[in-house]
Amino acid sequence: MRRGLPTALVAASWIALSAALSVGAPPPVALASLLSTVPLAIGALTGLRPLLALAFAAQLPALVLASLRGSIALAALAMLAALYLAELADLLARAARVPDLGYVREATKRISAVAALSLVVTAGATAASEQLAPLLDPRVAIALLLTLALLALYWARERGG
Amino acid sequence: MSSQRSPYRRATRLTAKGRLYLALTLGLLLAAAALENPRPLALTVPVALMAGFSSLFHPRAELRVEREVDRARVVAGERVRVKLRVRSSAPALAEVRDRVSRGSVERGSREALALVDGERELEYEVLLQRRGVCELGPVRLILGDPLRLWEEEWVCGKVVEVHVLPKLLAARGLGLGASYTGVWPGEVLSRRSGRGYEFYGVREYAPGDELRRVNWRATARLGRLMVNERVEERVTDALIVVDAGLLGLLDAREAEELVDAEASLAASLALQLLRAGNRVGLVVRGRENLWLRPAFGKRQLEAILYALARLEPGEPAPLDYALNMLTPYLLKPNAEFIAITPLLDAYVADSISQLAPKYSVLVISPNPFAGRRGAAYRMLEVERSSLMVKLGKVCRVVDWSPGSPLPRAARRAGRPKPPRGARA
Repeated sequence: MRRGLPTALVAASWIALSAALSVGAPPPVALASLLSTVPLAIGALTGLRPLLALAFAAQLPALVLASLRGSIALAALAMLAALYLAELADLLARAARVPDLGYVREATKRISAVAALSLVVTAGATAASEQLAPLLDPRVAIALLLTLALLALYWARERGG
Repeated sequence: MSSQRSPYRRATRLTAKGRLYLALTLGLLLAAAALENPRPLALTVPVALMAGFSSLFHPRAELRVEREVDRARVVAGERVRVKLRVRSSAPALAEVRDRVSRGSVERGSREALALVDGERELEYEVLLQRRGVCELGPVRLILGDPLRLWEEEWVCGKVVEVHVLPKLLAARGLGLGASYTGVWPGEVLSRRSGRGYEFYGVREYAPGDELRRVNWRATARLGRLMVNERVEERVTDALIVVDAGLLGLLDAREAEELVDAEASLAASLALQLLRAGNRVGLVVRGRENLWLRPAFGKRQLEAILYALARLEPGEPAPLDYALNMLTPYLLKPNAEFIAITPLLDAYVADSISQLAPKYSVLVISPNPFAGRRGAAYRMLEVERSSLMVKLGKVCRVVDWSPGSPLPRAARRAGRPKPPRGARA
């Protein structure tokens, strides 16, 4: 299976995301964000999945900074885009050793469906929370999110058997 | 052709990526707490949503695997074709990983990412270069949600064993000197006159003797009809002892190569002796000790080849125990005793020399130091040579470099002595 073109598309989208996040960011953060494309592309091509985690970690400061400086909704959407691209790169990396076109196509459809559902809910939730954010005590928000995360974990474990 | 349909066990676990998602969420929470600003919390929303929606797609499928292997035994250097048939009750994205304990996978892969919708077939070939037992299976099937945050591992299928039998060598020209012979016609010179090729003696003609056996010169000299007698050729019993212990002087690869050569030689001798109608037994001393009582036929050959396929270097018990206790039990006096040993220790040579008066002993010693340079190897080779000279006084010793033709080495060692009591 040829993975050059899909990898190039993912890398180009990642660069575009990095460029958007780098606007107005301090040079080290912007540089790290832009350079994160290198491990992403190498990881997707060679199948070295830890490189993808490195790429995402390099992108993270720019995402946090965007959430602090700009719109919460846009920062959340940027985070979603970063996760989606990283997942596609991970899929390509997993298919590097044992390529199977049918598997990659089906997995891409499922990842895209997950991302699309998340996009809809994220857009709604963050737009609503933009109004609430100035009023919300961060400690209450953290406690709420932690509870939700633990519930989700418990639910997922039950489902997994 | 063998087919295995199998029981399975399954386990669900959080993947490394799932843990990274969890760490990312916690990191963002901590960042929000540290900055005393709720805005980074917005970044946790897509993370949580992606993880949550991905879990909705977690497959609910029942999997089954069937395996077909085209042969249950091969000779070293041959290939085995493996076919896996994965069945799923619902469409599932699965990672298939088969286990192959030895050999190299060619034509196809033992790992695959597969969209299993109903049935999916995977095929590959394994090249088995070296003697031994190759285990195929169990198969690991990994199902997961689209993001692979959780994975469900199914371990399916029994382990199928493929026996890789030793390669056969040309083992002609060794000759047997046993004076014990059985009742059936064979290739070993007996102490009796009868049908055969070797000259035994001359006696007076008796009614019923064939005219072509008349010795006309003796008849003319003595004035009465004389006939030639031949040595009767019969079968014998043989015990092949393979010594794969005490190989500590060699590294693992060298030891394995030496044991491969010993196994090939033993297999070739067993085949040759059994074809000639002899009864052949086997004693192997390696990681596991094993012995087979002398017997005839294809079944015995199969048992010997399987035992040699399983032979691995090691030493659970000293060889002298096997020789002193087992040989009188397995082998009749004056039968053929064939020891295949690298002669790396004096006590092995002593044990064999103790057997020499009771049996027709042939020692074939594969040289583990052939072609090696260095003072240490030279000293070891001198020690081994002195043991061979000592042993050569009481029995026939063939010094053989693995890889070189055995008949040439056998010629250097000479022919066996004629059996005691034969007049030739």
